[in-house]
Order: sequence, then structure tokens, then C-alpha cells
Amino acid sequence: MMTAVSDNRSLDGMCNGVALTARVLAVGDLYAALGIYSHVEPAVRSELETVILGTRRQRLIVAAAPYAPRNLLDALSLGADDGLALRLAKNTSTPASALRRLMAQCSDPRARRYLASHPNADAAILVDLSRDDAIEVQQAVAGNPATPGDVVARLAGIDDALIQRAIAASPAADAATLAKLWDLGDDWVKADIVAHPNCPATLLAIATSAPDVRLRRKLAANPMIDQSALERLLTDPDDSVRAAAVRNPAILGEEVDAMNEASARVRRLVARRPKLSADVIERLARDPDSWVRRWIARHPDMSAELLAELASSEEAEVRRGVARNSSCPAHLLVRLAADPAPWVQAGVALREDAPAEAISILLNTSDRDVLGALGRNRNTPAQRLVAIARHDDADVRRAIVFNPAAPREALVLLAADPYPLNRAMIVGHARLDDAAVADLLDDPEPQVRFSAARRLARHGNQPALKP
Amino acid sequence: MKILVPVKQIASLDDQFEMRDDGRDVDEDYLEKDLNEFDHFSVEEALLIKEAAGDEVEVVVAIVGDDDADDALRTALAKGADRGIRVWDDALANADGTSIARILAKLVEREKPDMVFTGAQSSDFGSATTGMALAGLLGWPHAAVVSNLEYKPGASSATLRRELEGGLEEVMTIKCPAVLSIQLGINQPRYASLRGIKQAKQKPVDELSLDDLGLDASDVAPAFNVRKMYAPQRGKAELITGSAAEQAARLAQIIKEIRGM
Repeated sequence: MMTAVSDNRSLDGMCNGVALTARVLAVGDLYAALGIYSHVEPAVRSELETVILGTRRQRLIVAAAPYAPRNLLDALSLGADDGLALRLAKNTSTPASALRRLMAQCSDPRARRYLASHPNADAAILVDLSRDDAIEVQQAVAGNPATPGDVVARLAGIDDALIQRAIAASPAADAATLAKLWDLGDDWVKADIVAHPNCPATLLAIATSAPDVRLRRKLAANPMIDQSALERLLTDPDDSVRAAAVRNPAILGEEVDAMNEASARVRRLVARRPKLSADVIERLARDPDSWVRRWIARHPDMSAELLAELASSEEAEVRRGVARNSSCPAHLLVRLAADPAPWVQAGVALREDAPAEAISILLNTSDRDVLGALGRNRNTPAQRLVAIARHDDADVRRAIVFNPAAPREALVLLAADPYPLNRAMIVGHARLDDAAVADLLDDPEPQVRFSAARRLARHGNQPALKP
Repeated sequence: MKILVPVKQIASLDDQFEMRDDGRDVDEDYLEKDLNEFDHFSVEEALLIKEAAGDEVEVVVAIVGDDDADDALRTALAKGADRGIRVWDDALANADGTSIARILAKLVEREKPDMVFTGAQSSDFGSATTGMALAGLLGWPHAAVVSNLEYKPGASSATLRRELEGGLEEVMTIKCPAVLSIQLGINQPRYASLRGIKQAKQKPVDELSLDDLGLDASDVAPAFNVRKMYAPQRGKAELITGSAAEQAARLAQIIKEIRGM
């Protein structure tokens, strides 16, 4: 935790954490001040607040910023006018204490609607707002997953389609509430009810043989459904119902294996399931639908023989799937590194476990996708990473940000990158030294200055800063 | 050889905003100021010509605005423009596109550029008048919404492509000097390097008044006054999912709800 500095004396020989605070105060930079706010002592925060909250424009910016520290948003809620209150109510970082304050002082129905749907709204706030006169506020309360069960049960009696649909999806709705809603709601509400984990068994039974496809499809997605009902839905005449059943995490592998599925849509979903028998994998690897093959090519249980077969596929996306498969043998990766499609080569270039021979082949490329993938790979030679950091495409250069083994030379190039997002992202790289980060406190982009100041404050071991 | 690129600092709205008490504009506190998006492309087009020709081309950026507009001007200078001109007078607070064009026409008389590139329009007001009004005042050839340009410094004509309605495009040859309003997508605008941003602080910017240009307040009086600005009431939206039959059923249900059936 840094201590207070109230003047702008020479920074030489000072504690570096103090130097950072002094510099931010002297420059008066809103974004750098936001970056260090949470890392200084309370006495210093009030000094920073004069920089951060100096004008109404600044207060509006901070009130809307999800990256603003929670304790600052809390302070901002004190005596907030309607404009500020609206932004604070909408900001997902605003803490519950500030939300309670805003609720007490704000009559704007728009702000109260945001408060009612806020992820940090606690039970007390939601109970209070559930009695609001505006239907929009009640709808927001019904849709908030933190709304208590007794409030949900009470709101279920309101004749409003949006409230009813929100309650049908509410995690706090119990079986009794859902049963009551079943009698009141339309077909759409009923469909949501049968997808609910707390749906009463009697309603699930009705939905199993319902003529309405919506009900059967939603039922097939319910993770609490029993196995016999699920097996029945796997043979439903409607393929959207079978697709929902295949995606249900409760389904057992054998049941899917037993399917002799005619719909390519469903088979694509089967190919994405984590557990499949060898027979099913083999059948799907030779499926006439290329989307099925591209999904199964990534399946970790694929045999080496099938992977070799799919590595010769005419479709580049299928070969790319093989290149991305964690079980792909080294000799296939070498072969795919020389694939005519750069997209397939890029799939190999992304792999940290690619053999040196494959990386060596890929180094000859000038393709942007492959270079971008090599830029992320910690096994790419340092000299090549520096060249990637100098590439004319900002997206290719950005790959360096994601490479934990990138050399300092490449990182420094990214810290001076013309593309602001690249500079903002490189600030977080563990191997970029604090001296280089300190230079970014002068960056023209607010996002970069914020990130640089926050990182230096977090480290607390800042290098000597230029006054 | 000189290319004049008039640019504008535009105001973009925050997500939530409030109107001024007089109801004629947005409260200034809710506005973000930036260089007009279209002007990134017109500046880039001038810089590409300069870079292809070497040092013989001078790119001059000009802006009409108060001290705050310096940021937009420096943004253009940081990209590589050689120098800047900023014109301001309090009488310009409500200037419209034609008033700005009168100022630019005086600048053209003063600077004698070989070409003028403007953005096709401003992204805040979108009137698309300034460039063409300037051409009219100068009596220069002009082309609007230029999406491709072939021009060599010193040439007596340029070949360009324009976007027309209905997806049509028109290729034309235009005599120079000319005023071209540049469309988005004609090139890929660069980001200013950190070095360029630092250098831009040292580049010369002439600050001119109306008087310096031989104009007075009556020459730049706007031809219109804003009576009211407001956000129209929004309707509701719902994403309808499901099969075609289900979507049709939901649509029918919504229609019944709206009609109170």
C-alpha cells in the first residue's frame, strides 16, 4: 500500500510507489489516477479524487466505467444527480452499498429498472424494488437471478407475459411456483417451465408426450430429466428435439451411440460430445457431412489411423481439425505443417507440442494466419518473434502479447506499437519490465495509461520515474 | 505541390445522454470529441500521394474550431501531415457547412493548393455539404463520395471512382485542381506512431481569425437555427426464436397483443 505525497518535489531517492502517486497527482491524469486508486492508502485516495472527479464530465465517465474501482463508485453515489445515478445503476461494477443509496434517492424509472437487473443487487434491494409501481421494474426484478424465492412466488401472480417468462427461468422458482405459473402462462411460458431444473415431475410427464414441439424440445434440454424420458426424446420425430437431447449433459454415451441418426444437424452435435465409442467415432469420421467430419477430427479419442485418414481429407477445415487435435501424432503434425492451406499450417503453428521439424517448416511462411500463430508459440525462435513484432499487420503483431516466452526486444516493440490496443495489452505481459511500462504513463491513449499505472501500482516496485 | 485537407472535430454521443436545458442540443458533458471518421480517410489519401511522390508534396490540414479542436488537428499531424491551420472566432459557434466552406474558400485563396480532399461527410451532422459548397464557391471541378483515386502530383487530371445509388459505381476523369470528398474504405487509415504523436506537438499550426481571412461575422452567419433536438420514443424489440411455424405463431401473438385482441 502506497503512502501519501502532497507535493511535487524531486522524485529521486523517493520510495518508488510514492513517486508514482506523486507523478499521477502532478500530471493530473484521470486514467492513471483510476489505475492506482485501489492501491493507495485512504488518505491518498481523497487527493486522487480531486483529479478523478474534478469535473462533471469526468464524474460521468467514471460512473459509466466498469473498470472503475468499486470504492470510488461507492463514493460517487453520494448525492448523485439523475445523470450520474443512471450511469451508476447501469455500471455492473457498482457495489450493493451504492445501489442501496441510489435506490433511496432516485425516482427515475429507468435507473430503478437498471438497479432491479443489476448483478450486485442484493435481496433487500430486490424485495424493495419488487413493489415498484412500474411494470418494467417488476419485470427486471423477476429476471434477476438473485431475487429471493418468496418474491418470485409473489410476482408469479402478476398477469404479465414478460414477468411470467422471467420467472419460468428464475433459479429461485420452486416447484410450487412453477406449477402455479403453468396454469397462468401461455405456451411460451410452459416451454420455459419444462426446461427448469425444479419443474415438477407431473409437468415433465405431460411434456414428454406433448404435441407441441416447443415443449418437447425444452424438456429435452432439462438436465434433471430422467433417463427413460431422455431415451424417448432421442427418437423423437422432430430433429430439433433430438438435437436438444444430444446436447443434454445428463445423457449417457451409450444412448447416443445407439442412435442411427438421419439428421446431419444432430450428428454434428453428436460429434462434439466428449465421450463416444470407437465405433461411433469411426462412423462419424466417414460421415458424408463435412461439418460432422471437421468436428470429429478434433475429438481426443480419435485413433492415429483415423487421424491419418482425415489428414488427407479434401476439406481444409477437416485437416485443420486434425492439426488441432491434442492426440495428433508428431509425424502428422510435420506433414500438416507443409499443408497447401495456410489455415491448416496455422493450426499446427499454434501447438506448443509441435515438433521442431514442423516449426522449422512453418518458419518459411509469409501468411498472416500462420505468422500470428507462430507469434503465440513459445517455441518459435526469438529472432522470428522480433520480426513478427515488426510485421505490418497489427493483428499479427498482437500475437506477441500472448507469448509468455517473447524476448524483451519484441515486447518493447509492442510497447511502441502504433495500434493502441496492442500497447494496452502488452502492459500486462509478465516479461515486460517496469521501466518500459513507466514510459507508457505518457501514452496518448487513456486505456494504456490506466493499464500502465495499475500495473506499476500493483507491483509496488516501480523503477525511478521521470519527473 | 500541395494538398489541403480540411478536417473536423466531431462530437459523439455517450451511451446515456441528456439534452441541454434549452432543448436544442445535447448537454456538452455527454459528448466525446474526436477527429471525424471520414477525415481519417481523406488525410490518409493525401499522405499516400505524398509518400508515393517523396518530399515534393506538402499536406496541410485545416480545421475550424476553438482550442479543443487542436486535439483533432494534432491527430492528423501525428499521422504525417506537414502543418496545420486552425481558424476560430466566437461568431463561428453555430456555423453551418456553407459558412465553413466560405472560410475554407478563403484558405484556398491563401494556400493555393493543387487539390482539396474533404471527408464525404461528418459523422455527427452528416450534411455532406462542406466539400461541395467549397467547390461551388471556388468554381473548381468536384466529385463527391470518391471511393478510388488515381492521381499523380502535378498532373492536370485525376481518374476516380464514385459510389452511386443502387450499388452502381462511376469512373470519371476530373480536371485539377479539384475538390474531392472522400468516402470511407478508400484506403486503410494508419494509426499515428508514438513518435509521430510526439513530433506532432512540434509541428507548426497557424491560428487565424476571421479578420485574418478578410471575413466578418455576417459572412459566416448560419442559414438555419436548430429549434429542437430530441430522442424519439423507442419501440420494443424481441428476438423471436424457434422453427418457422413457432416464429409465425409468436408473431401472430404479438400482433394480437398490439391490437388488443
